[in-house]
Amino acid sequence: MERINLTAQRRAETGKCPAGRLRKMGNVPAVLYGPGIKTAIPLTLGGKETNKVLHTAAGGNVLVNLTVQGEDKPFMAMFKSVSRHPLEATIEHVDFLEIRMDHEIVADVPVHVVGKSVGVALGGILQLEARKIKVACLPADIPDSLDVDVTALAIGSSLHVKDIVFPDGVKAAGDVALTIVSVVAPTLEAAPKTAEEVQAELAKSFEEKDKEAPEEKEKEKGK
Amino acid sequence: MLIPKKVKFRKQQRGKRRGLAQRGASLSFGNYGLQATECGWLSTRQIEAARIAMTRFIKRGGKIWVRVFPDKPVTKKPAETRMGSGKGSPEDWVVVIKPGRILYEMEGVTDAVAKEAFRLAAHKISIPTKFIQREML
Repeated sequence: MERINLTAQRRAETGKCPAGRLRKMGNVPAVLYGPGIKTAIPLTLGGKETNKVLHTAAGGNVLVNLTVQGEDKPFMAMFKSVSRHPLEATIEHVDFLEIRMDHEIVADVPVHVVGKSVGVALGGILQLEARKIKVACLPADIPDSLDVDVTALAIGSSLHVKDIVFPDGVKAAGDVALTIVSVVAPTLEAAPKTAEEVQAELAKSFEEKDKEAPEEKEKEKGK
Repeated sequence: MLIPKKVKFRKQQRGKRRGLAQRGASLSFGNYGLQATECGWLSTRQIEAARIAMTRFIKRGGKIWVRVFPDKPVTKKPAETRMGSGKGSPEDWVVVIKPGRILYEMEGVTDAVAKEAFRLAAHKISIPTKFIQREML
């Protein structure tokens, strides 16, 4: 697993106004917490560096050697959550979880599809049901990605977590019956409805609603 | 068309559209998506028209997800009616869209096909939208 060094400053001010000012300056407000930290430490990160760290091959699944100014030792941490702006997709806030290298943790590992499915060759559509799988292992053993071979998948068949061969020291943490990838038949397009049909369908829906709620209609009439 | 099976109240107030989408603002199923950049109402007819436009373009190539459901009834008074005499009758179903909301998702097609399909779909929708793909996030 990739290890990255990141430097952060302690954040004196907390709350939405100081955080907004930080974002305007191109920085990212963050917080560090974990079993070895009594009270959560509010931090400030550089925007560009954080963005770079989150765009690795492992998709942000990296061990961060976090150096906090004013602290004696660096913290070993992982990204717990990253909140983004709904429209601009810029990073708004980062949560770091302090980890211990000798304690097993649960991490989300991205799925990497290998091969071309038999079903796809016959016109089926390969559908990734789960893009990440929860695994339990030591922090140093977290794989960058898990390879899923889809060559034998025909139309209507699927692969589950239990079908994956995990590397040594790594095991599935979630539901083993979870579907990861399936090949589905393409849906046929239904004949489009005419304007009259659409109008009739809408009118019918409101007629049914009137029947369902006659009391409400009576009340309206009473007014 | 998308219509609720059952509703508790036949008529609703119009409400406000301020703020950004807090849910449904990231891609959940496909690799490509159509994201609203402004707020507005999207009617069941618009949702269906856009879906048909996309399905026709991609033919049998990919899969489409509709991420919105119109569950808000809209009332209208008949034409040339004097004001008063209560609220009009329900005429349409809409969904309230806020900036950032993903309207459709697509998978199983190339970048160019997805882009063109969403361009055609965007012409059926009364809200400004943008094309997004998973790598961009």
